[in-house]
Amino acid sequence: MNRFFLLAVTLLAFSNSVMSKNTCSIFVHGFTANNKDYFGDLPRQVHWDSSQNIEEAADEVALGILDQIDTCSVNDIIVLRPHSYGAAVVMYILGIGRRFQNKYPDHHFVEIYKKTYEVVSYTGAYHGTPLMDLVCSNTSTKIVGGTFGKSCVESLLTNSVKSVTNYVNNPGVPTYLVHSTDRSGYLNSTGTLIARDGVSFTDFYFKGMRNQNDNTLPISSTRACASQEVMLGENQNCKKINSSYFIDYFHEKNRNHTEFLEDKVFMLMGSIGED
Amino acid sequence: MRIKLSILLVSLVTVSSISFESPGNSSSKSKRSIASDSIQVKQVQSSKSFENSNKESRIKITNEKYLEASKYPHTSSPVDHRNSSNYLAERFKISNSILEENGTSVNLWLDKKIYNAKRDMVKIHYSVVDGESLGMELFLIIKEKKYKLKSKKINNNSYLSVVDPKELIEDDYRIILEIDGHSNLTANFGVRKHYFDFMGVTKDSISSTGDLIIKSKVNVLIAGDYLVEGTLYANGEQIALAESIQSLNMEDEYIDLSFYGKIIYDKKIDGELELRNLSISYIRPSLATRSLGLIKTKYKTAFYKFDQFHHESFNNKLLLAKIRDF
Repeated sequence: MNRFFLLAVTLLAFSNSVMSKNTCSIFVHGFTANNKDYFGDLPRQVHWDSSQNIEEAADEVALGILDQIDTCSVNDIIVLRPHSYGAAVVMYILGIGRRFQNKYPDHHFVEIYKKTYEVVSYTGAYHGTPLMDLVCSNTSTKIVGGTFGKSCVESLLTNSVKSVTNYVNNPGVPTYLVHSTDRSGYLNSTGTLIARDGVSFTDFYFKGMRNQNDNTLPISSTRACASQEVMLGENQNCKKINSSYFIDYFHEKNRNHTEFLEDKVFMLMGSIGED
Repeated sequence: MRIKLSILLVSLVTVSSISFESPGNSSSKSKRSIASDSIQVKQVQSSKSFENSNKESRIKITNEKYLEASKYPHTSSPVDHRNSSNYLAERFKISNSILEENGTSVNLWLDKKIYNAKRDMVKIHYSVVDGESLGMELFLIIKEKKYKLKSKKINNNSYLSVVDPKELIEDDYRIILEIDGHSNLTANFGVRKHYFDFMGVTKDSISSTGDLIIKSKVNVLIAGDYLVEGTLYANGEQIALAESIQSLNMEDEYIDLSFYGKIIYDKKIDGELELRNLSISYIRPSLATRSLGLIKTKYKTAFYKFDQFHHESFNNKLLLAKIRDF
């Protein structure tokens, strides 16, 4: 009987050891009118109505994340992989969860904060989110808004009053930043024309410079810079909104904002047992 | 007993084998594998730099981050001033919206981000350098409707428009400056009710547990839960953050910020410390905070020696539990 017991314990330890090495990645899409095809056939996608502002969106995304966590094995390591606006919403959920962990320990944001081991935050070649400022404010550019969705989502703007960093400064979970500086193919010429905020017109027009950073998405997901900075070079650095949790991880130079979404190898970078 | 152990063994083996499979049905798994293989061939060159080489080091970094963070309560943490900005200052920093075109520079800005409906006036400025202001129109956006604002010239190239926030409900608003009908500059601001009067930072002390406590007094006009945030400086450099959630009644109340003693002890700081920037936000039922503005304080504490503070790790169990053994 002792031999059986020892064998059982050994197998238990072995199985735990093996199980603990698997990650379970959950994908959260960005602003889109077509969320079903956003990541192709990548597993565990949270589908949500991204035409909501961040406060409203967070509830729906959080419930979707919990549903997906339920499909992971008990000992899996939970890794959230948001893209674009999804990255801002995930930072919001985790930051609020961290803040209220004692006061509201059963809140679903707190549950996600407790269960999440890492975030790999994907963004791309932003021409600068002032794009959405124009979409929301100018009827002549509303047709561009139709590319994404029907509503004007203020959390996407350079709107510093409604940006995610106005609510939280710290996701409380190590967040690995994957960003791109390839700006090709993003909304074609329309995007190019209206995406110059934060960069002088001459720099924009003659040197092709773009604002890669603003007060909302790029802060939480591109390089987590605390203030507006133009992000062009690989080695360009900035002071983080909170250096304890944001880590520059991968700089994509050859593909734009949306070109890597269905690339499983890229989207699962650093995963374990999920290839 | 043997039968029970055999069942246990079978269960264990089954659990082990399940762990090797990706969740989801097998058909979708095989589809994924085929797609993944074909993509891998295409991507192997560009993906080489992040595959595998980063995996172990990333997990090590994550564990180190958790280990470091576990030394402090979630309400107070040290700041690496070389790599982190003062987030409160950044949050409330006034930013200009600038457009440069054909040698003309147009600039739009507001004097604040958050306006108190009782005390403030919203002042919207714009300037035109080396160009004409003809064709520029200023609008306030309320619920996606545009309302034209009047502005007056205050000098050669600057214009001012004033909006009384008492005419607006508590919300966030957008200003648009349309330039010649084809370009825009935008700015945003919030209007808030009068939640409290800040009476000042009143006292600092070391708690019985060896933490730095800084106390402020507020006259609360709207009862509720509030988030209090502050940044601590020493010798001109930011060293720590603290935040607390406090339920306040409609009366004079004291609010505390507690900076974890170990932060000051570890930095071996002797001397005065400074509370620089304080933010008090109203917590809504959704748990989202409503920013009520920045209190720019430069409160100096008494002179302390570093060893008056404790140097105990907090041992945050939640974070320690996240550290994984690979």
